[in-house]
Amino acid sequence: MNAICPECYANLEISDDVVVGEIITCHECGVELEVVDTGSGMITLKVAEAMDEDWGE
Amino acid sequence: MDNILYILYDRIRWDEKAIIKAAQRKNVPVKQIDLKRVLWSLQPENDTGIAGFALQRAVSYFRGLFSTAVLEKKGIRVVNNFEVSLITGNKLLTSLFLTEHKIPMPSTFVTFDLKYALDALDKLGYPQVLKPIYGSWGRFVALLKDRETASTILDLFEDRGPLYKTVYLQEAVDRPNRDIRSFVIGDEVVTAIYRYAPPGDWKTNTARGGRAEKCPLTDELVDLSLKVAEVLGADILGIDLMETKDGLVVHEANHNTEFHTTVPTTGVDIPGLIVDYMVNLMKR
Repeated sequence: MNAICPECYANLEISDDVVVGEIITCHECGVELEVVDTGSGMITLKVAEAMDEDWGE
Repeated sequence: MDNILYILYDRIRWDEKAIIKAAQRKNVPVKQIDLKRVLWSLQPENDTGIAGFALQRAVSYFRGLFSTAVLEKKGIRVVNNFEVSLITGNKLLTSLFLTEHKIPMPSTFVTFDLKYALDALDKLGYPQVLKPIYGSWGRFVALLKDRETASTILDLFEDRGPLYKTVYLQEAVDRPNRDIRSFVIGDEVVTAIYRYAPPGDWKTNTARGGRAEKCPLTDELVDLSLKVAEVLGADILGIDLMETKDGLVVHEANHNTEFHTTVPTTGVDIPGLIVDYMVNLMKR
């Protein structure tokens, strides 16, 4: 499946087993992207939330 | 009774995806709940669309803790529960809990002022390990070898907000260049790994590039791990232990434990075991 990086507009090829909420790194600009929709054969991405101090286990 | 496994998340990492895939393999229906996009009433009615059982997997500690609090008040059984999350997400509360239950742990002190902390360190003597009471992956954990280092690091904490003014100081335990992470699911220790510090570092967190190796489940490791999980009342727990000349000591417990290193290292299907555990809870 394909998607467009919302940051640099690179065309990204994405694994078929991708799930909503998964984090993908754009191979062009390196930004972390969150999968927000996988419906109707098109994947929608948004820039992922940046790491905060309370992240972890 | 709702037989859906609700997964509460804010970010699907390898670990969460592995749980989702394990559930699919086992024909367990899953519904993902993105905690970044919920609007819930704080009145008693359950308007969350969640019923029965939920697995809390938020990466953000406070997001996970507070969403668990809301859901529990609406009658949903969340794994791990609020109290376990509250205690294990806070190193100071964890230490108090371990001490209360006579679980061996490193000698630990607290002081509540960054300036006084230097005097406190003079009394305790160096080296000491300084840890923020919240946070993971070894962030801002510092080995204080002398007064100069301590002064510099404590100065850096000044501008980081009130949580950094609780100064948690732990003895620098004389241990091998590794620690142990054991995994408890229900009443079983399912596996454990040694976590080796990467070259030139003393922190063993695999998130920092540390190497992992399968660790044998000795009686001491199993007994201590089960005791920690039992006294906490935890469903699923990652426990960090160190080897000392007097035996194992526990220095941390993790309520939202990661296993992306442990699964390939040990071959143990932790995500599958988590799904099995949740399914068994739902059947009760």
